[in-house]
Amino acid sequence: MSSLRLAGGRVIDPANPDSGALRDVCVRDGRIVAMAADAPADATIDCGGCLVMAGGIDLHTHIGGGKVNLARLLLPELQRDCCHPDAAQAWPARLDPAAHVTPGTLLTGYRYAQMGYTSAFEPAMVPANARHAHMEMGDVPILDHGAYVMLGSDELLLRWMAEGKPFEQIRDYVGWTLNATRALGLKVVNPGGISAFKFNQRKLDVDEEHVHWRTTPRQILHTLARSLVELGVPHPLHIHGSNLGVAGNIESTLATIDALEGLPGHLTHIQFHAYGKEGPKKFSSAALQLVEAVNANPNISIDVGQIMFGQTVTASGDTMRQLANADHASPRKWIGADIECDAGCGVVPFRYKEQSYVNALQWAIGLEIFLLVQDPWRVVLTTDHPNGGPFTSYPHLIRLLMDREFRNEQLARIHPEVAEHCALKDITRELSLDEIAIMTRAGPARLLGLADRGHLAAGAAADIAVYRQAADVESMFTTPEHVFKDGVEVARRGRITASPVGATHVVEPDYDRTVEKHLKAHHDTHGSVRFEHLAISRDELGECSRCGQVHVVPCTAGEGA
Amino acid sequence: MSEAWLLRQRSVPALGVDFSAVSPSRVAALSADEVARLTVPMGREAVALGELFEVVVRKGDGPALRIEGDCSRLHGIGRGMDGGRIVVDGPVGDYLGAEMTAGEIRVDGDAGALAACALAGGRIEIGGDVGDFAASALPGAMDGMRGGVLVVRGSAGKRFGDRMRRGTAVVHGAVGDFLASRMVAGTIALAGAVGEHPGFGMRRGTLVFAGDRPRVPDTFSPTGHDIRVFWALLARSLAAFGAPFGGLAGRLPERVVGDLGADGKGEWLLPA
Ligand SMILES: [Zn+2]
Repeated sequence: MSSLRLAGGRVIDPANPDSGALRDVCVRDGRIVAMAADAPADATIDCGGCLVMAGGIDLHTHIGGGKVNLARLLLPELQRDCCHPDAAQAWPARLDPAAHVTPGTLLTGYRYAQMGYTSAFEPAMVPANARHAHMEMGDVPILDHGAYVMLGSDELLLRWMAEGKPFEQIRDYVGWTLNATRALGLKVVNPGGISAFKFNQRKLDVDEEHVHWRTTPRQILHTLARSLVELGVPHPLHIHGSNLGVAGNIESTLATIDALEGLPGHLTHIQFHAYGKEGPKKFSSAALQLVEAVNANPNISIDVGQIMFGQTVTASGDTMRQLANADHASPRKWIGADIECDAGCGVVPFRYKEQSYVNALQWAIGLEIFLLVQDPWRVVLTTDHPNGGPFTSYPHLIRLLMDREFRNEQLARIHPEVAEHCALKDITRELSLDEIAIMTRAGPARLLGLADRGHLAAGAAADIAVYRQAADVESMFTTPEHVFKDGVEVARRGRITASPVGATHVVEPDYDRTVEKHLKAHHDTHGSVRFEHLAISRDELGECSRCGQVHVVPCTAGEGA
Repeated sequence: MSEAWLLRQRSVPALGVDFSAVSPSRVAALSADEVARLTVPMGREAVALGELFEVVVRKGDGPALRIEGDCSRLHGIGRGMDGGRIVVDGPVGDYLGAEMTAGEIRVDGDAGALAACALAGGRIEIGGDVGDFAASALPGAMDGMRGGVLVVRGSAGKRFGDRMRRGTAVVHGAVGDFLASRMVAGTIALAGAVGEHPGFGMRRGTLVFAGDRPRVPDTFSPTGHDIRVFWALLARSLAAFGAPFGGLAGRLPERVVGDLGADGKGEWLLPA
């Protein structure tokens, strides 16, 4: 296969030495290779005046599974402008612009690639919907993908915990689930709370008992996090905590960190979980408390879930909290659903407003978190697409983080009481290109165990974005000069040039197979699908994902435990 | 004085065509050549009007467009139209006159789904039958027809007047299920049979059943209001829509209100 030299760009590669140096990056057979400066390449692209970075990695973005489709069905009006008559002559990837909130699969892939992102991971795959999720992600062009499977409000886990079954049996259930659903990680959403909701509980604190199963979120968190460590799964337990969006929920968030007892945990869309109840509106920023806890607990990583002003839709497995949010739906419609008695689903359209005290504060809290956490390797840049805002707002978000003057201009436009009192106004930090590269590439790759992604050392996958350096980093990060996926150019100055099929990243942890007879017994009496039909085979995964490669991320059982 | 155009169909298009860009006011200022070169989306491609139609200039007294042929694959005829007149001699596709704000459309044939949805002004008259969701909302939208007049000489499909907010819609033939579902305001007059669940979730608005008397659901209840003055006015305005609505003034109606499952202020007028 042919070789390619990206010549003379400034290489921003914080995972490796000499980030920021001017050097060539060379590619052969879809991989980064070391080539002598005078070695001929089949093609050379002059990258003078450009930044060369690894392809972006979104570790938490809702791009597959039932609720994404529900959101599209609920809000067809957001797709309507795509049918503009002038669009017909255009390349489909240029269909614009209102559909960012609930893009279809093609637009999702194209839009990410056009920004220089080459991987995106779905954080909320319900076991019963795993096939759908893989098919939908498989239908997203270009991007590598994978999903975190959801446990924690499922009947079987809660039953076994309540019955005091041995930890090993539960761990093996987790191991089986990860294998059967072809997941990359494990997610817990409002631990136990989605189930408790069905028993008429409307909130569940970390140490509050589920009225029926008598388990607490604390026990569930610890059990699942410990299971992952014993199974050797690289990505820490992906935690959507208790009491999302509730004033004063910083207590729950700190209790969640405490419940992990030092076990690895990734607190997702943490902005929604960092609220105090001080001040005239009994709603305040708890970013400082949160950041203190994150700085003090190296086992904790976070992604922010920054909100962006404008129309979006929130889609969550947290039926309990979405019911509470439904009153704020804009436009006034929403969907709530149960899934197989094992999970939930709530889809609530939402418009974040600059002049809303609460929304303005949420915006400030997210930025405060980004700017105050000391270790960028443990902070991932997300908007929890589409919950906080569509992923297409990332370039704007990056500018907010890198450009204080720009940030202060935006600050002047939000609710005056927030602008006047928030800690954000006194934060002078501007993130560096290295820090942005960590939060958008190197960090998420490391948190997911993707050793050959997110950086540009020889041997890494040639997922590369080349940005023409500009003072306005928003426009710079919006439209890279070139984007390569596994060495193939997929976008050039905003135009899609190729549409390869991305790989599916999975884990295959070892577990004791004797658990399967207990699982079969449960499904024979309680399941709606035959146990034998639940697991997705390697072959079937290939069919689901348009024959994309399957990349097995190694588990290191025993070593860490 | 502006030109009027006659588009005479050459052949039925192979795929659906989005015709919404071809409004009377847009073509009024163009030459015949320019009209023929206008492109419209067909499937995933664009096609010139001249390929689909023979373009003929006619004398007109305002922006006007006459289309002859089987237009059942032309969607969005008159969509968003803001004035002028369109006459179609033949059946038309979906979204006829959707989001129209002013002007007049007459179709001598059947119309597809979503005709007159989100209609805000002007008048649409359909000589044949109309499909589902006529006089309703754009898919997903919270507000339906909000002004103007829709007259259907034939029958109408399901969900006629869904989420309707204002304006007048008249059906001479039968209507399908869920007539006036989630209706908020406006007037619908009917001369034929009515399908299942009329007025489902109706909050306000007026339905006049000049023809078959539907069964009154349990979620509607009679009121004893004296509506003689109002009826005289309404009957007179409805008489303009033709014979089936002619003798209404002399048939003082029973009045029931509902749907009590929603706001319960929608009224049904059931002429004696
Ligand atoms: Zn999320």
